[in-house]
Amino acid sequence: MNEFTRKTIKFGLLLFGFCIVGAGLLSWVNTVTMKQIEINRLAEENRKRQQVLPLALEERFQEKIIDGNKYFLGYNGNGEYVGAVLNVESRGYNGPINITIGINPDGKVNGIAISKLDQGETPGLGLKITTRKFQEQFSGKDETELRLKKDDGKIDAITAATISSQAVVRAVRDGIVSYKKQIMEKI
Amino acid sequence: MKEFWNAFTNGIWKENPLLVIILGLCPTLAVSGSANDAFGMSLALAFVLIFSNIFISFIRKWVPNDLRIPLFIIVISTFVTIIDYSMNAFQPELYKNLGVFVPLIVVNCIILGRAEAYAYKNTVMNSLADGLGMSIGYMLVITFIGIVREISGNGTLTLLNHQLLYLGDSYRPALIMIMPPGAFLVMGSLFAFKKWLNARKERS
Repeated sequence: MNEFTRKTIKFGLLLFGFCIVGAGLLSWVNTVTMKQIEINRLAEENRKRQQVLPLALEERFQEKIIDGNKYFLGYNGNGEYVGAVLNVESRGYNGPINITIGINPDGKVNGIAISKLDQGETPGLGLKITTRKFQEQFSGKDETELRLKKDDGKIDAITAATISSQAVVRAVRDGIVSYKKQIMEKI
Repeated sequence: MKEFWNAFTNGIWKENPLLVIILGLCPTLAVSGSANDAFGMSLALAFVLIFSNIFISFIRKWVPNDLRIPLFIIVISTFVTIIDYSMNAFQPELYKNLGVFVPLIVVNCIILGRAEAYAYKNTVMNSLADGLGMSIGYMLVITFIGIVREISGNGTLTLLNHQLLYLGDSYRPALIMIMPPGAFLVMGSLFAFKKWLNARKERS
């Protein structure tokens, strides 16, 4: 066996060893953290539902899927219907944006929530869709008002981030429209 | 001990990763639009850089010269992924703020650069000092860029998720500063300033 073959085999084995150790470590970390990550994700979803529809009790939410839309129908302590939470996905500037919308029984927005991990918009610009200042504007609006001000609506777009603002506004408006069609007319 | 101290201060000023070595510009451009994000990015980087430096220095005797780059890449990407997962699982609040930056660290060449230029040739203790110094140097510069860009381009200053300054609605911010050209403007001025200081020191 000459020098070159020996070197090739040695390096091959070494790389192989490192990859095995790395892969083993990663799969171990994955099994250890997977459960906790899932728990955190559910807790976060719960927190967002509470934030957008505070009147509803956490344990009384009823899940309902209609034509691919996932609704959580909310009820208060007396069993009265207080509104629904709908999760929608929109296409932003840098990829999908996940929006949690709380909807009042009359079909108006109660509140929306987008956390930093729900989106991938540009830091400093589109990232501002995660601020309270932007999200608060949606409360109490119906589908005719849910447009940017330049389109005769009532939502202030984020300066220099029209695409991100537009993506959120459009998705919330579509969410309200499907709520009216799929839930409101049937209750 | 003296060597430890030298390795530590080296990264802060004399060989500042951004001002002198000029490494890791890509994530710096992307997240220095606000002081908050810039600081978060530097924290996440410090975490990975210190541990990768220690680990690479620890295994340096078993790594043949011809094979070091692929092995470093395996080590660094494994580390970044482990940190991403464990932070997501055990520090969800921290992850909410830093999580977006962790994947960006993989493309931050400061880590590979320090592994190659320092940790591979020095003891574990000194590599730890180097990692600390480089992280602090990076933190100071990127946070400064973030502060300048956020105040001039947005009229606000946010740090650790607290708004410290708001210049009011009558202030018309220069939007270009929070867009990519703003990063080049601030960084270019900083590099020039550092060069000027060095040149003045040499002349006197």
